[in-house]
Amino acid sequence: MDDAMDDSNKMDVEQDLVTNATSSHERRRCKVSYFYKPDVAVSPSLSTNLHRDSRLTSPPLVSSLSPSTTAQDTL
Amino acid sequence: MKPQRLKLTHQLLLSFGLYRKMEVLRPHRATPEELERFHAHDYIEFLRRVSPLTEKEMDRQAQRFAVGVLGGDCPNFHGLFEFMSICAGGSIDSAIKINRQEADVCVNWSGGLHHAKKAEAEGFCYINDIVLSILELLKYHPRVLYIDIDIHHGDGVEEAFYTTNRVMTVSFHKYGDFFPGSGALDDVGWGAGKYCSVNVPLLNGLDDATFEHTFKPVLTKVFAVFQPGAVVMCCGADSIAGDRLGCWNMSLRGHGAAVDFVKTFGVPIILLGGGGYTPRNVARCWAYETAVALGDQDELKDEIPMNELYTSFGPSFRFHLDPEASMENKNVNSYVDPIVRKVLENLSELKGPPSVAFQDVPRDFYADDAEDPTDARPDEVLEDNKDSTSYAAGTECGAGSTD
Repeated sequence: MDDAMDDSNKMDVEQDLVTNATSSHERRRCKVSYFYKPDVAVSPSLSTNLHRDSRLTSPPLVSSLSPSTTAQDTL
Repeated sequence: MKPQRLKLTHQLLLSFGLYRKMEVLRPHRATPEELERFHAHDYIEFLRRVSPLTEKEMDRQAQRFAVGVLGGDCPNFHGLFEFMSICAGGSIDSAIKINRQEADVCVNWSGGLHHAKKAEAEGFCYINDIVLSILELLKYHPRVLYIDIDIHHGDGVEEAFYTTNRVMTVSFHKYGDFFPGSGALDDVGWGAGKYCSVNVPLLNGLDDATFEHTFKPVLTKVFAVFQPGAVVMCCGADSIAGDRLGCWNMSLRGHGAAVDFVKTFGVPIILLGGGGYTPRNVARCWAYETAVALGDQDELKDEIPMNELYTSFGPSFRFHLDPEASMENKNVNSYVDPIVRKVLENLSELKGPPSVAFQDVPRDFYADDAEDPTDARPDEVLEDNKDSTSYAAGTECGAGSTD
């Protein structure tokens, strides 16, 4: 009878292990949401690569930073 | 900046079967009210009205806002406002999903327009969707971390949050005689935001090993001192090998390693696109990083699966890219190590994560009275798709498909 109880407990433990393994596996998989809109209306001109890497602009001057250029006023 | 990149990326996600493992959503079109949460009202009104037909009569404003200027990098085109509203809508929707704890990672490859300023277009960026998504996250999260691995400095985002300690911006970029010219090591933020702007200026030929050698210690320290509640990443693919405008030499694995590393901190992430000027490689990069988000990157085969745009992936038709063996990596240890050391020293100046006072939480940006009812439902699962019939089975695009 003791052996039977031991077996029963063992089964429970094994079942717990399986359950826990499953849940920890599920935790590892991130829930990912992907946003895509295929029917974006764009003109052919948008397909032209116009990004220029040659233009140099001045870094932002600290003295010029204000709510007019930063997002500070919305924070 | 080719929209074709998004279609190519989508084809890879379909053909690799990655779409089955995530929720595929149609972004809403951001309203002017939403956009004006960061951008100036005049600027948004201008973007709404400008078109190639009205260009001449709006010339003065065009000069002021740097749109459609001869020789400029932000052309005027039909559908500009709609296109940018959708790009921004996806990023705002991503933030709302994260705020509601409905996703661990949100992906919007049409976003990442990091050069746009409050009232000025720049570098083909008209609307700064990144700033808008961060502002949305700040409604729920005391601190938000922005990481930029596009080869260009994330100047628009840095400038927007230069004076606050609620957002830390970390940009790894090519520096020196390169667009946009900002992002020096000494630009660390101002006022309350001092040491919350982190710039890692790098040279030509950056490879996987050097990139890892740089971002791992910097990001480890950033997470330790700033303890962000959410992360937004600009994953511009112009930093990978073979880009038409880029001058770095990273593989997909090296680029994606940054995303994988950020995931280990267990903080919700928004992955956005950005630059990238060799469309077939941009698609490879973003498909790989979507797989990284899912934890399935090792399961992707090196052969491009058959898809509607298969011929675009020639001539190799292989998925992974080989770095160019002939490209010299100018980021030698004697150059990179002092930069990393200085960045870590600056971060040590932050004495614990900044706190935030109690305040009312503004309502989520949902356009309750949007003109187009389909655009007001960002939670809507993308079911039918006129352009792409191969994934039209709505059940396979729905939430909960995790097999």
